[in-house]
Amino acid sequence: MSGYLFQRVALALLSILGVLVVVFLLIRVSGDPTLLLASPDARPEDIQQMRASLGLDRPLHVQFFYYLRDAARLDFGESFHWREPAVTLVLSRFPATLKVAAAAFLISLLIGIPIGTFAALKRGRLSDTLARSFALAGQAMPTFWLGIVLILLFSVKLKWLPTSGTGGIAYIVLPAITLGWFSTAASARLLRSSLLDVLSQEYIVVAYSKGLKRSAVIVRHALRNAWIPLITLLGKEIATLLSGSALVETVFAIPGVGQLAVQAVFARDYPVVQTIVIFTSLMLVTANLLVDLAYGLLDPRIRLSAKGA
Amino acid sequence: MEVEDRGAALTKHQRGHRGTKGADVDHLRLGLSIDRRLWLKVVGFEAAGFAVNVIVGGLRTHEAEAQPASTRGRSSRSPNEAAVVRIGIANDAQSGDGALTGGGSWPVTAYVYNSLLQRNSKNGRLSPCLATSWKATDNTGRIWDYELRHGVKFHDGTELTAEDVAFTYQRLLDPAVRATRMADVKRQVEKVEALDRYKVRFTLTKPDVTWPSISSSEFIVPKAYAQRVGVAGFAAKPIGTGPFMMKSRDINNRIVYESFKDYWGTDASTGLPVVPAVSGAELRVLPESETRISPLLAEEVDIIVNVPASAVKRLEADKRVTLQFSETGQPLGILVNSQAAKTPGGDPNPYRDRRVRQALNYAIDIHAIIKTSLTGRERPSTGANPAAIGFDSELQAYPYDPGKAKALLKQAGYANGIKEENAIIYNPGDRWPQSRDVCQAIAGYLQNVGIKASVQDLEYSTAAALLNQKKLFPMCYWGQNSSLETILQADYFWTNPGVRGVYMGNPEIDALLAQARKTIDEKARGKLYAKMQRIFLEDAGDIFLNIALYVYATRGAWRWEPGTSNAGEIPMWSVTRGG
Repeated sequence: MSGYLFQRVALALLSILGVLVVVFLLIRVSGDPTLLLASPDARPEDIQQMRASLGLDRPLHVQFFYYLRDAARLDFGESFHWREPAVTLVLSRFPATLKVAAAAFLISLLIGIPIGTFAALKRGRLSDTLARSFALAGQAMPTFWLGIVLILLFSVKLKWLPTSGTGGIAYIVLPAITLGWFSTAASARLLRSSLLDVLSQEYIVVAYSKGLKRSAVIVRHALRNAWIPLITLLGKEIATLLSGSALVETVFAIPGVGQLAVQAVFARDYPVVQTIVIFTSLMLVTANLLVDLAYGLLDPRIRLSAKGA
Repeated sequence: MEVEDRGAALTKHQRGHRGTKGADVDHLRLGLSIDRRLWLKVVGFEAAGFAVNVIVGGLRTHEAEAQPASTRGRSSRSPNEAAVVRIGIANDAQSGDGALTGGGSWPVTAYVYNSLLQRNSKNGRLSPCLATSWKATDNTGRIWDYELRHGVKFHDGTELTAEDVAFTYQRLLDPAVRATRMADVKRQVEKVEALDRYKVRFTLTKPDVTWPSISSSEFIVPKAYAQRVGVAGFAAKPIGTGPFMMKSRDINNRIVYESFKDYWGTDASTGLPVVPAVSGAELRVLPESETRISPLLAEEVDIIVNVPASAVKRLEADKRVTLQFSETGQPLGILVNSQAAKTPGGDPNPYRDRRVRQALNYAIDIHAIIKTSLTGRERPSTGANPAAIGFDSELQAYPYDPGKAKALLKQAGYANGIKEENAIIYNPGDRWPQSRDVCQAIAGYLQNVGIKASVQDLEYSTAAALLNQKKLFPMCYWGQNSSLETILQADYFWTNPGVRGVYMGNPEIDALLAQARKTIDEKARGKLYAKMQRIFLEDAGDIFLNIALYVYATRGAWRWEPGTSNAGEIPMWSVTRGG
C-alpha cells in the first residue's frame, strides 16, 4: 500500500506543477495585461512603469522562477480590483462556496444512494420508473433554470426561504438543491446500473445459498462492490460542484469563489483568476488523490497491481 | 478612466405608454436581434414562471396558513418600527475608502462622505456642499479659494476644517494609499493649503476653468482619524461627513449603515437642512438583474437599482411595485473612426467623408430603437449632457430618412454601400444597458441602406483597451463623457488633447475647446460649448443614440425622489415610508 500511496502522491504533485506551468503560460500568451489594466488615460511611460512594477519586463525564465518562488510562499500578488492580497481574497470567499458545495454533495449522497439502491432492487416496477424519471429530470434541467424556478416558487410565491445572499442554513437550502440535483441524479443512475450488474454476479448467488439474509447480502456483498464506480463519479462530481458554483452563486447572489471568478475574469483581475485556478486545481487534485486511495482500500486488486507495476 | 462620468441629471422625460403597434414592433425586433443568451433568458424565465404558476395553483390554498409562521419577519414590518431602508444594488465598492473607488462604487461610498461641491439633484448644476463658496483668485483659473461651511461634523464628532481638506488631497498623492485618481490629481494640483480654519487654496499646475467641476468628485476625510488608523484601518472603518455611518461591510454581500444624527446636510434643491427620515440603510449586493428582481418581489429589499429594460414591462404590470426613471445625463452613441487614413484592409477610410457619417445617422430610427430595445422613455441624444453648461436644447436629433442616407452615400461615392469588413460595430459587453440589442438594431438599419454592418461582442475592458490602441475599426458603442463641462474631457473625440483623438477630429472644435479652457465666465464658456455641440452634431462625429436612463423599482410604502445625479445612488434625504 505504501508504494501505491507514494506513486499517487507523486502524480498529484506533478499535476499541481503542471497547473502552475499552464497558468503561467496562459496568462503570458493571452497578451500584455498592462494594456488591459492601464486606464485609457495612461501615457506610454505610465504603462512602462506598470510593466516594470509587475515584473513583466524581465525575461520569461526569470519571471517563471519568481512565479514559482511566490507560489511556494502562497503569494499570488494583489488583486487589481479589490486592492487586497489575492490569496486572502480567495480564501475569504471559499467558506461560502464550500458550504453550498458540501451541502450539495451531501444531498447527492443522502438522496442519490438510497434512490439508486431502491431503483435497482425494484427493477422494472413503477417505483423504479419513478426513481429513474427523477434522475432523468435532474440531469436534464439546466442549473440556472432550476435555480430561478426554485426562487420563484419557494421565495417569491411561498416566502419560505430567502431568495439570495448568505446567512443561516435557510440561505443554503435552495442553492444546495440547485447545485446538488444534477449530482444526485448522476449518482442514483450510476449506482442503479452498477448494483444491477453486481446483483447478477455468481458470488451473490453463493451468498444467498449460504443462507445469508437479503439485507446482509446487499449491504455487505453487493453494495460494497457497486460503490467503486460511484466513488470515481463522486471524485468527478466535486469538480462539477466547484465549477457549477459559478452559476449558482450568480443566480443566488452568494459571495463565493464562483462569483469572484466571474467578476475577476470580467475585470481582468489576473492575480485573482490565477489564484482561483490554482486553488481549485489543488482541491481537485486532492479529491482525485483521495478517490485513488479509497480505491486502493476498497479493491485490493488495484493496490496490488500498482505494486506489481 | 471614466469617459462617462457620474453625470448630471435631470429632466424627467416621459414618452407615454406604448400602443399595440409598439408591441408588435417589439416582437419583430426581438426576432431580428435575438441572441442565444437573450433567448435563454426569455425562454428560461417564461418557462420558469409557467412552471411555478402551475405548481403554485395547487399550493395556493396552503399559502395563507403557511405565510405568517414562515416569513420570519422578513416581509411585513409595522410603520412604527424604526425604518431601515433596504436597497438592492448591482456592485459593491472596491473599497470602503472613497479614495480607492471608481465610478461603479459610488452608490456604496457616496452615503458616507461629502465633497466640497455637489451636483444639484434637480438640475445637475454645481452647488455648495462642504464649501459654501469658491472662486478663482488670479483671473486665469490657476488659483482657487474655497470657503468651508462652519460647524460640519465628521462621524467621530470632530469638526471639519481646512486642514482636513488639504490632508485629503495630500493623501490622494500618497503612494501607500494608491488612490484611483492619484495620477490625475498629480497632473492637476500643485499644492493645497489651509489659509485659515475655514479657507482652502488650490494652486493648480496650469489654469483650468473646469476645476470646480473636478473638485466635486473628491470625498473629504478627517485628518486626525485617517492618520491614526492608517490606510487599511480607514478602508475597514471609513469616516466622513455624510448622512450615513458605515456600520459593517460584508464584501460583495451586505453593507449596513446607520444614519448620522449630527449630519449637517442640506437639501441640494431647496438649501434647507435635511435629516434622513430613515434610521439606517442596508445595501444588498445583487449583481444579476434577475437576482435583483426576485428579492424585491419577495419583500427582502425595498428598492432596487438598475432594472433592465427587458423587465420594465413585467414590473409595470405589478401593482405592488413603483418604477422610477432617472437620466444620468450620459450621451450614448456609436463612435465612428473618421481619423484613420485607411481601413485595416488598406481601402480609403469611407468615414473620413462627413456625408457618410451623416448617412449613418439618417439611416437609423432612434425613436424606434428607444421603443423596441430600450424602455421607451429615453430621449435622443444631441451629443452632450442635457444638464451641461451651455447645452443647446434647440438642437434636434437626426430624423429617420433612409432615402437621404442613400443619397448622401451616393454623393460620397458609395452608391453600392460599404463592405462588411469596413462596417463592424463593436459592442463593449454589458457595460451599458441593452447595448447589444441596440447595436443589432443599428446593424439592421445600416444594412437597409447598403452598409453591410455586423456586430462583434467584446468584453468591456478588452474593448476599452483596444479602443485605446486604435484597434477597433470603424465603429464602437460607447457612453461618452457626461461632464457638465460639455464634451470637454472627451479625449476620445478631439485631436487637441492629444491622448487619443482616435475617432473624431475637427480643427474648429479644437480651437473652441482651447478658447473655452481659458474662459472663466460660465456663460461665455457655455456659448463656446454650445457652438462645439452644434458642430459635433452637424459634423456627425458619432451615430447619436440616446441619453442614458436608469430605472429603479420601489416596493411597498417607500417613497423617494429620483432625479439623482449619480447612476445607482438613491438620494437618502428624500426616502420616506408611508403608513
